[in-house]
Amino acid sequence: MIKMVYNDYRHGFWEALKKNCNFTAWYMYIYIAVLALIHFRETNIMMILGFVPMVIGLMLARAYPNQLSKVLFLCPLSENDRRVYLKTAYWIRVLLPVSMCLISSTVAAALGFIQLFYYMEMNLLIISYLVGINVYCLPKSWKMVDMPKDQWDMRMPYAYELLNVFLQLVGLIGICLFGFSDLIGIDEGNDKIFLTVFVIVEALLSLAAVKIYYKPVMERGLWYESCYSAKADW
Amino acid sequence: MVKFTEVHKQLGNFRLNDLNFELPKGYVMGLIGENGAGKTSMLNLILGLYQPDCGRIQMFGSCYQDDERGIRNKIGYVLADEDLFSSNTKLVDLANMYGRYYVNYNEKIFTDYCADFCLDLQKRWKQLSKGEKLKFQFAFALSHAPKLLVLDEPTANFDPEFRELFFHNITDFISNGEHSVILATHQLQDLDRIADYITLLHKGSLVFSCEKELLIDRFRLVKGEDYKVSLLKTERVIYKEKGEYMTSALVRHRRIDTYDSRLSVNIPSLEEIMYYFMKSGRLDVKKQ
Repeated sequence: MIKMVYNDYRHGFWEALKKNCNFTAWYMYIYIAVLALIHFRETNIMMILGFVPMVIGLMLARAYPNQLSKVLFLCPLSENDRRVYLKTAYWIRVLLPVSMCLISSTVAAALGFIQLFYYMEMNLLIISYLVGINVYCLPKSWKMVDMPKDQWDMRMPYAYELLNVFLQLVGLIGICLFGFSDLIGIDEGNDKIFLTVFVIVEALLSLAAVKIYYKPVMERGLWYESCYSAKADW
Repeated sequence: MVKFTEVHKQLGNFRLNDLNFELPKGYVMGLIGENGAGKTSMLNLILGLYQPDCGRIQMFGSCYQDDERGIRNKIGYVLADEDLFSSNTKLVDLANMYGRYYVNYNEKIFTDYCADFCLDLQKRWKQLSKGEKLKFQFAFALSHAPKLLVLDEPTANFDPEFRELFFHNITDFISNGEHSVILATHQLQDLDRIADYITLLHKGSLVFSCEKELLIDRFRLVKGEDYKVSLLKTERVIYKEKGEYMTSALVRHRRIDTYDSRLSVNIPSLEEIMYYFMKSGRLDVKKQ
């Protein structure tokens, strides 16, 4: 199944990126801009090591939503095959950037470039972020809002996404502030408290998202109708 | 091979109503209807992409819920969906990537068909014209030995030469009596040529589904002077159209019916039957 997902992802990579990733492009530019600002901070290396897999993970999550392509729905796969495919795809999208992050940060920590505190905080942040971001449904259209009342819980991933974006903005602004801490006189010790609170909120948010949405989102991905169409194809 | 029993499906504001029909093996069914009649939605039901709200769809004697994989292995499709495959992938990779899901996929058969259809396997999906995309799907469909071919509007985009080859392949496909074809199209002359059954949809309802010969036997196209045509019993006339030099009418026909010798009486084509029915607004052939 891993090979199947890998092949599908590999062949459709650029197309999926072009089709679904417009929304993520600005993240990258902001992070790059922020990186320049924070270059004199101790968290610099960890930020770079964390930033790259985080953006890759975000892009993968956007490019490959929790659904099968139409042609896969037409292929001879049983319901269980489709379920296994979706779960495998989810964990590939999570584990690929997570392993990148863990390997690079562990090497950096072993070489003494980063403190244990930043190592743990940033890895927890990135893992929880990637686990959560891959659960929400792709908000390409608002068609899910038209679903019957008993399926309204599917709207909730939008709330999760909005909260996540808000959290990231808070994080970015916070990082910028601490980046300029020398200039604006913020006590350096405060950034550890800020980072801890930020990571805990993000981790709790992701945990809640996975707990609430993982099952219904995977279930939704099993059916062509719920993935692609709420109205008639003539 | 395909059996719909009282199938209903709500799709937004559109509803497919009470679909009942059966297609035995060895036959070609033409699916016709105006734009928005629900042809593609009905094909999606046949392909198992949509689940019926109520009613029962049987494919090869079983339901999608019971044997989804088995059913899908037996269905080949040609769909009018330009984004069906990933655009940047070579045809040879596409075929191998999706072919491995099918039990009977044969790469050699696929490459042979591609050679016959003049398809360059090194081309990418996005580089293909509309017609070539359909040709690729057709070659792929035939390469995994399906029992049923589901074709959505393929012929409109084929050049005359390939259209001949296409019909030749369809005829070959059904020749052993074990395979069937469902062809949704507006090109009714194609159906005149190959269809055995005709299913007409109108605003989501099935107007009729019957053998083409039976349908054609029931009607005659009568042409002549207006007063002569007007003498026909009104209950027999489906629709009468007055032209500059003559009047033509589609009339119900029984073997015992006679006509004025100065009227020209012809067997109507499917296109003519559909045209006159659409004009009359009496899409109720079941009662005709």
